[in-house]
Amino acid sequence: MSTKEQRERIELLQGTLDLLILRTLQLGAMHGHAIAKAIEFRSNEVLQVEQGSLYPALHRLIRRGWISAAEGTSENNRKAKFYVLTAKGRRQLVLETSKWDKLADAIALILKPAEQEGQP
Amino acid sequence: MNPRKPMLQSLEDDIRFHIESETQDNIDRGMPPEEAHRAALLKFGNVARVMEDTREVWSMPWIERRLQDMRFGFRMLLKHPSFTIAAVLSLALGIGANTAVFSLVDALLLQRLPVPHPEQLFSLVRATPQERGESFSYKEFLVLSQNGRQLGEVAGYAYRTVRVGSGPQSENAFAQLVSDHYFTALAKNAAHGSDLGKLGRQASGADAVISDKYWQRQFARSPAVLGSTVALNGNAFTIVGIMPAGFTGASIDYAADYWVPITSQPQLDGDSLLSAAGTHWVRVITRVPPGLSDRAISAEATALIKRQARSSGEGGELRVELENAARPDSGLRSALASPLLLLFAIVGLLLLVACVNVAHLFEARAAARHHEFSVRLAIGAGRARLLSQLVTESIIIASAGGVMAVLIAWAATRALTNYISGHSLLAIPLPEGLRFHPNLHVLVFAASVAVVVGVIVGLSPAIRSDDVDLRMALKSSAPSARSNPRSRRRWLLTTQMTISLLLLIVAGLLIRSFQKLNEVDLGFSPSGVVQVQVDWGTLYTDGQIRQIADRLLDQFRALPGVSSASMAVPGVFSRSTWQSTFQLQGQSSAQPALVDVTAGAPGFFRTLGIPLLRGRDFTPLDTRNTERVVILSETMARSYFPTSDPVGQRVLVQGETIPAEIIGVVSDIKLHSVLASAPRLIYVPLTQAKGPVTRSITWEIRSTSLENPIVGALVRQVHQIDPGLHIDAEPVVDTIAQSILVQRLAAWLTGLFGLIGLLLAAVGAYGLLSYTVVQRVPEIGIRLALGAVRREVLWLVWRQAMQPIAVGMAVGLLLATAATRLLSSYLFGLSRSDPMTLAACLLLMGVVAGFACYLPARRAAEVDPTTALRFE
Repeated sequence: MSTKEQRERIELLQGTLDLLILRTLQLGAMHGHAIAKAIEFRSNEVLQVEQGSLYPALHRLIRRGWISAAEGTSENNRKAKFYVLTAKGRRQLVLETSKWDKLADAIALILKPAEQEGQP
Repeated sequence: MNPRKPMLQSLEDDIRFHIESETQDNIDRGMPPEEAHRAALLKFGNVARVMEDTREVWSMPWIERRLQDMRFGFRMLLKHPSFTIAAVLSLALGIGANTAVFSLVDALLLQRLPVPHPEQLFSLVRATPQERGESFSYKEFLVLSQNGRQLGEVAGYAYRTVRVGSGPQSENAFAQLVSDHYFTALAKNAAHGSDLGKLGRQASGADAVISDKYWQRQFARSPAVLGSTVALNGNAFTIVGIMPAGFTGASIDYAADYWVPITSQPQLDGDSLLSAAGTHWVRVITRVPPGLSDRAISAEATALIKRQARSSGEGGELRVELENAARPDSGLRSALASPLLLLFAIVGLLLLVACVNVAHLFEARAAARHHEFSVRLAIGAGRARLLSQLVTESIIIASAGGVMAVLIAWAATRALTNYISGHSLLAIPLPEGLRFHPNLHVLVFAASVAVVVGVIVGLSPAIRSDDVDLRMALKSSAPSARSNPRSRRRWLLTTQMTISLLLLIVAGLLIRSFQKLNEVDLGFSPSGVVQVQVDWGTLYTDGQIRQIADRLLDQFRALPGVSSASMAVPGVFSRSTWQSTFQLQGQSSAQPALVDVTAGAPGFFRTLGIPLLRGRDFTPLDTRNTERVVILSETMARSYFPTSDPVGQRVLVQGETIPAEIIGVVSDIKLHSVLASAPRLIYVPLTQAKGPVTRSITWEIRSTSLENPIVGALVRQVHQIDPGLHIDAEPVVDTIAQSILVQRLAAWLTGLFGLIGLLLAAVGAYGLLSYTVVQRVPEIGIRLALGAVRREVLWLVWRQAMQPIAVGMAVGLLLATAATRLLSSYLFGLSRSDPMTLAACLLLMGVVAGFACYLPARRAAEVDPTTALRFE
C-alpha cells in the first residue's frame, strides 16, 4: 500500500477524477482496478483515490459517451469489463486538459507572490 | 434505448473483480490473505454507497428523489395529524379567500370577450368638454359605418329589456339591438342556423338570433326553434340562429338572450330614434385590423362626427376617442373594480398571516425534528437533500391546502353571488360571468399561490436546519440553548400580529363607515313605505295610463293598514334622474340653471315624511289647466332666496315661459344616493309635469304594517286591472339598502377576513407559546423548586409572550395609520384615524392575544417541579 505520509496526500477535487480517468485511458483499454492503480502509480502515490468512487465516475463518462465499456479478459485470465476512450472522449480530453492547464497557471500565478513573501 | 440495465447488471461483478484484484495485489506484496482482503475493502470504500452512487448516474435522479421525498413526507405528515390539519386549514383559509376574490377579479377585470382576437376591438367614445359618452345618435353611427374609410369593421348596438310573448305567461328578456356588421366585427357566427351576415341583409324584416343559454332555458335545446316565431314587445320575430355557448354579446352586465336588427328599434320602443339627431343611444364598436393606428382612426371618426353634428345643429367641441374593448363592456366593472382590488389586497394580507402561521408550525416541527435531521446529516444526507425534503413536505401541505382552498372558494363565491343576485345589484340579474366557474385562470392562480407559499414556508425552517450542530444534537435530544431560532420565532409572531391588526383596523373602519352610512339622515323616513312601479309595455297609451294610475292610487289608499299614498316621478332612490331648468322671473336673460326635479301628486311629502317648512303642499286643485306652482327644497330656497321669503315668488321652470308660483318649501332629502349630499331639488305637480313622465310613475304607499303582506295586496290590485302587467313593488328601505350593497359587502367581507386573520394570529400565538412552554419545562421546574410562586411563573411566561405581540400591535397601529390613507375614499363620515375604531380594534386584538397566551402560560405555572427535574 501507500507509503506516503498522510498529510502529503491530496484529496481529489470534484470533477478532476473524470479528467484523470480520460488521461489514463489514453494509454489503452483498461479495467477498473487497473485504472485505479495507474492513477495512484503515475501520481507518485500522492493522489489518493477512494477506489470505489471510480465507478460512479466511469458510468458518468459512459453516459456522456466519452468512454465505452466492453467485456474482456484480464491479465490473470478472468472475465472483466474493459473501458476504452471514444473519439468524443479524446476530443474532450484535449479540451479538459487545456482548461486544466489554464486553471493551474492561474492559480500558480496567484500563489507565487505568497511564496516569495515567505522567503527571507 | 436506455443502456442503464446492462450497465448496472455487471456492476456487482465488476466491483467484486476489483476487490479481488486488489486483494491479490496485497497478497503479492506479502500481506496475509485476511489482512489483504480487509485492506482492499478499506481502500475501495463503502460498496453499498458506490453501487448507490453509480446507479444514480443512470437514474432520473431528480424525479426519483422527489418521489422518495414525497413518500417520506406523506409518512411524516400522517404521523402528526394535528400539525398537518392545523397547517392545511390555515393555508386553505388563506388561499381560499384569495382564490375566491381572484375568481371575481378574473371574471370582472381580466376576462376577455370570447371572440377571436379581442384585442383588435375598440369602442368609440363621444367626448365633449362636458362629458364622455359611450353612445352616438343613429345617424352618427350610419355616417361612421358607411363613410369611414379606415375605421375598420364598424358595428353599432344597444340594449333593451323586451317582453317575450303576451299575457300572464309573458316574461322579460334582454335583447341586444345590433347593426349589420355586428357579428362580422366580433368575428362570431351562429352555432346553428343561418349565416349571420344575412341578419343584416334581411334587416328590414324581423330576424332574431338567440343565445345558447336562452335556447337551453326556454326551448330545451329543441332544433325546431329555428324558424319559429316569437313576439317581442308585441312584434313578431323569426328565430334564425343560435349563438355558440358562452357568447353573450359585448357586455357582461347584460347577457343578451336575443339579438335583433337595430332597425327594429321603432317597433320595439313604439317610438323611432332612428332619425333623432340629439339622442345618443347607439354604442359603436370597431374591429381594427393590425397596422392601423388608433390616432388615425380617432381623427377620421372625429372629422366625420363633427360634420354630421354640425349639419344637425349640434356645435361645439367634439372628439371621438378609442377605448380598448377586449374586455366585455361592463358597468359593474367600474362600480366594483376598486372595492374588489381593495379586497384583493386584504386577502393578500390574510394569506400572509396564514403563511406566518404555517411557518410557526414548521419552525416548531423543525425544532422537534432537530435530532432526526442531525442523524440524517450524520449518515450522509446532503444538506440540499434535507432542504428538498422540507420543501417537499411543505409543498404537500400547501397542495392539500390549495385543493381545499378551491373548494372553499367555490362555496364562498357561490354563496356570495347568490346573495348579490338576491339583492339584484344595479337592478339587473347577476351576470353569468360573475358566477364562479373553476376555470383555468382560477385553478392556475390557486396552484401557483399554493406552490409559492409551500416553497417559502418550507424554506424558512430549512434554512435554519442548515446550521444543525451535529455533535450537539447527537449528544442529547434536548434542544440546544441557542437564542437564534427563538428570536426568529418571536419575530414571526410580531409580524403576524402587525398584519392581523392592520387587517382588523381596515375591517373596523369599513364596518364603522357602513354603520354611519345606515345612520345618515335621509330627510325622509323610509321605513313602512313601499314603492310600486309598473312596466306598461306598448299596449297602453299615456292617457289610459294616467287614468289607471289615478284609479290605482285610490285603491291603494283604501287598502287596510295604508295610512297614506301618493305618486311621483321619479321615485326616491330610483336610478333615473329628471332635471329641469330653473330661473328667477325677471332674469330671463341669464343662462337658466339645471336642477333636479320631482313631479309629485298631493300627499307625496306626507307619505314620505318630508317636513313641509313653509307654505302648502300640492292639492288636487293644482291641475294641468290651473296656475303653474312649484315647491322648493330647503337648499334651493336658501341659495336663491337667502334673505327673502320664497313663498309667493315667481320662477321659470321646465323650460316654460309661463312663470310658476313658489307655494312652499320642504326640507332637503337625499334623492338618489346616501353618499351624495342632498341635491338642489324642486317639486312640480304631476299634473303639470312636462316630458314623458307617465310611464315612469311610481306609487309611494305608507302602511302601518311593516310586514310584506302589503306588497302582495298591491300586486293583486294591479293585476285586477291587467294580469299581464309586470309590476315591481319594493319596500323603500330595501331600495336604499341595495344602493349601498357594495359598501355592505365590503364591510362584511373585510370584517370576515379580519376575524379570520385574528383567529389565525391567535392560533399562531397559542401554538408558539405552547411549544415554548414545553421547551422551558426544565427551567420552570428549577424556578419552582427554588421557591418561585406559581402566579409569578404565570406572569413571567405570559409577559414574555406578550412582548413580541405588543411590539407587533404597535407596529401594526403605525402601519395602519399610514396604510389607511389609501382607504379614505371608501370611508364615509369617518376619519381614517377614527379613535373609537382604533381603540376597539386594539382592545379586541389585545384581549384575544392575551387569552391565547394565557392558556399555555397557565400550563407552565402548573408544571410539577419534581417531574420537570426528572425529565431533564
